[in-house]
Amino acid sequence: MPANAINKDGRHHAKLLYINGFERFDDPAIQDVVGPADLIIVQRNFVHKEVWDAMDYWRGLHKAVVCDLDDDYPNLPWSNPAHRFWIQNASGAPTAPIELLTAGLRHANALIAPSKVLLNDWKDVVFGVHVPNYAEWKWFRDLKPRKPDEKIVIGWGGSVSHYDSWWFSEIRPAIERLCREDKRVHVLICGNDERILEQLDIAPEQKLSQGGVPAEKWPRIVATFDIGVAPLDARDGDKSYDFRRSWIKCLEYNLAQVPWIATKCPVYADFAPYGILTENTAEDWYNGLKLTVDNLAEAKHAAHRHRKFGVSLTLERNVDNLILAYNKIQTLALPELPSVFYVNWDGRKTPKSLDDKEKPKRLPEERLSHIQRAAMRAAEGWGEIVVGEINIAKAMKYDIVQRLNEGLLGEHEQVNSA
Amino acid sequence: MSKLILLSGGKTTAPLTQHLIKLGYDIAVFEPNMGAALVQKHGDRVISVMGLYEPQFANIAHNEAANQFANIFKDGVEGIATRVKTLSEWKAFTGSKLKLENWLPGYLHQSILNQTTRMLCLEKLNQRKVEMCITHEDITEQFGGLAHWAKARGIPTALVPHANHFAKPELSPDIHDTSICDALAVTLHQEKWYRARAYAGDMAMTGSPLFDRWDKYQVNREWAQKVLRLDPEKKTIVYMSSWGQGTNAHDDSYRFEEALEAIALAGFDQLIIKLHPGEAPGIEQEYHRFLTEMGTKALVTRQYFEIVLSAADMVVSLGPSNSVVDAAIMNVPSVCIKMPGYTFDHPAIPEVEPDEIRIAVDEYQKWDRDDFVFQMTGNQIGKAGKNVALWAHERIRSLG
Repeated sequence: MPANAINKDGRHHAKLLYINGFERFDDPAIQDVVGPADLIIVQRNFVHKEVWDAMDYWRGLHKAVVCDLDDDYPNLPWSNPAHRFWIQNASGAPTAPIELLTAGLRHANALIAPSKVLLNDWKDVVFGVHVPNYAEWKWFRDLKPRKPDEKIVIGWGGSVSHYDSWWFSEIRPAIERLCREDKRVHVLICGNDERILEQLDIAPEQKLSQGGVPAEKWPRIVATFDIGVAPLDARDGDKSYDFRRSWIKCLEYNLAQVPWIATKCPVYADFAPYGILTENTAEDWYNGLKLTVDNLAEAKHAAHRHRKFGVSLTLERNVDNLILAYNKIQTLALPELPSVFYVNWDGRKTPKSLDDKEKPKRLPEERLSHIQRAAMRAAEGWGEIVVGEINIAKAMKYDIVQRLNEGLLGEHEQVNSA
Repeated sequence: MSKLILLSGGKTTAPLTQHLIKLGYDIAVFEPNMGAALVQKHGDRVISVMGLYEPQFANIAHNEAANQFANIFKDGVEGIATRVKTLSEWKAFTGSKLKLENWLPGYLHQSILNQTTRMLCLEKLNQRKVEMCITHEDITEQFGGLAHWAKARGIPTALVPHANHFAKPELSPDIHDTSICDALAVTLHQEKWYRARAYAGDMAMTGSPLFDRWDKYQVNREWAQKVLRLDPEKKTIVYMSSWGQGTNAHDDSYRFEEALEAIALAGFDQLIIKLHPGEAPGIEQEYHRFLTEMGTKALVTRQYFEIVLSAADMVVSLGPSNSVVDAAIMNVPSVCIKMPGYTFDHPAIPEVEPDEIRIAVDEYQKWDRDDFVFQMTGNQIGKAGKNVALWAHERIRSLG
């Protein structure tokens, strides 16, 4: 949790509050909790007027209010149980939930997300700030890799939102083939989507399952894998729902020193040197898995060596980056300085040349010199305008020269445009 | 009663006030806004010259202007153009801005009115002996009038130039080329500049009080980025725009558009356009229109010079500018877009064509600011105001 890392760092202080508490912004007790904050992050549930009011209220006090999204709600697949609420509008809300989500984002100073793709999706609605999904190092620090025995455990853990990831990545036939060929191989599926394991056509004794565990205990489960997998559904290319996910699975495998194979996609691109990224074909998945199973000891040594990359992506190592990102957001909430204006500030457009515009030409230098000498002579030649004992004409030279020069250049421009 | 020194009240002379008061002088300040501010700060040790205005001055000044005007224009505009020989050649021009009758009568009437009013206030001052008049410039109607008044009254005059000038010799003749003051308090650069133009009076290397404000300025980059709503991860380029004074025909008004277009097209990650305070009032709208049309992301402001410099990674100026000197003092490197007729002529500041600006910014590595700052300030930052005050004090004593 970023809040834990920030509190532990000590320079700043973070607090978590349930959304139904946040809504009661008029309650003095709630005001005492939220009031000291400079930055308020609202997670997901900004689809009600009560929440928007709270966001507006605190923004009015120049606090930065940001929304946090980690899911591509407008493109939830049918397989995702949340599809009923977000897309089918099962709650019968008079306004479509995605419209409410969009409206909610407009009440925020910024959107933070662990996916740059997701930020890009919303860039026309709200300013985006990338806050990567860092891991808690303390949960991984003392973990030991699984010792070799007669089993080779291919593991995965996740939510019900990954049903399509399994079906459409082509990992299933690859695993089924490998399990048929090598009885040492076992498949451990963690989480609450039992369908994934049930639907795998492998021997029951090769199936292992693990229910949901609290977040801090999850790394210990990951460490029981010999090989981790991270299949993603890439059918829609850049538009794929799964391409809006964070890199967390690869990061967890890396920190737990588990060799891994994942779908080749932008989500895991940063991890490419530290594992196997495969095309979504049964053949490629099989080849990647087979290669790792057959060279497991070497793969584990490599995973051990690669761990330092993951350590660089822990919350503990990135408190400064988090604060930098939050500072960036905070500036959006500051009252604007008077007499400062911003042009195209929330999104760069492509600058266009005005080459077709006719530009006036500069007069030749000798002509300019002639004009200047004449203007100076005219200014010098005023004679006297004596007021009292002072010849005030001497103080008029500046204006006379200026007016004559401006007039002449104006004349030149007229000639140019004629 | 303390001795009295008359200050113009510009940014280079106002800082002398505290030092001269410590040396035992009372101070009269000519510029009305600065005069009022310094009276508020120092109480009865400061006199605001324009605060000496009396209601009957209005009648006197109006009558003087009307009488002078009637005398000058007794033969109409044609008459004055004939009498003032050097104006005769301008009769040939018929453009609306040049036609003498379109501006000369109104300008002269207003100028005589203003100057008479100021002189009436100054005359009240001369009921006390003025030991010296120190001005930041002596060429415009307002401050030139002040210097001419002091000269006519036999008051010693001193100029503390309001800026370093960067005009090349070929721009001569230029109204800035000389000073009517008896002596100059200068930076190294200014000394060379005035010497090259054969200034014959005394010069003292005091440094310029203009830069004294940086001595105690605490740069807070993070805060500056915050209040300007900048992204601290992006490189911030500040474009110091400029304006044409029009006192030299070589001032290239087209260059302003050309340079701004180049800046807008350069594709800097984070661009601040800091307007010159001398640019026309309301020109912000023009900038807004232009940048919107160009699709350029930019922050534009005429104010907050110190904050903008605190946030800057690099400065780009149109032509040589004293803002580049300010930037150098704050250790911010600069690149200058060439302005015909003007130059820093110093290796620390590359001068490039408008279409070379992006590459000049990206590839700028070398940054040896020490000699540049030395030339422009004499390394007297924080001390110059006191130096000038002590120099003036000694000069008054030596003049007896």
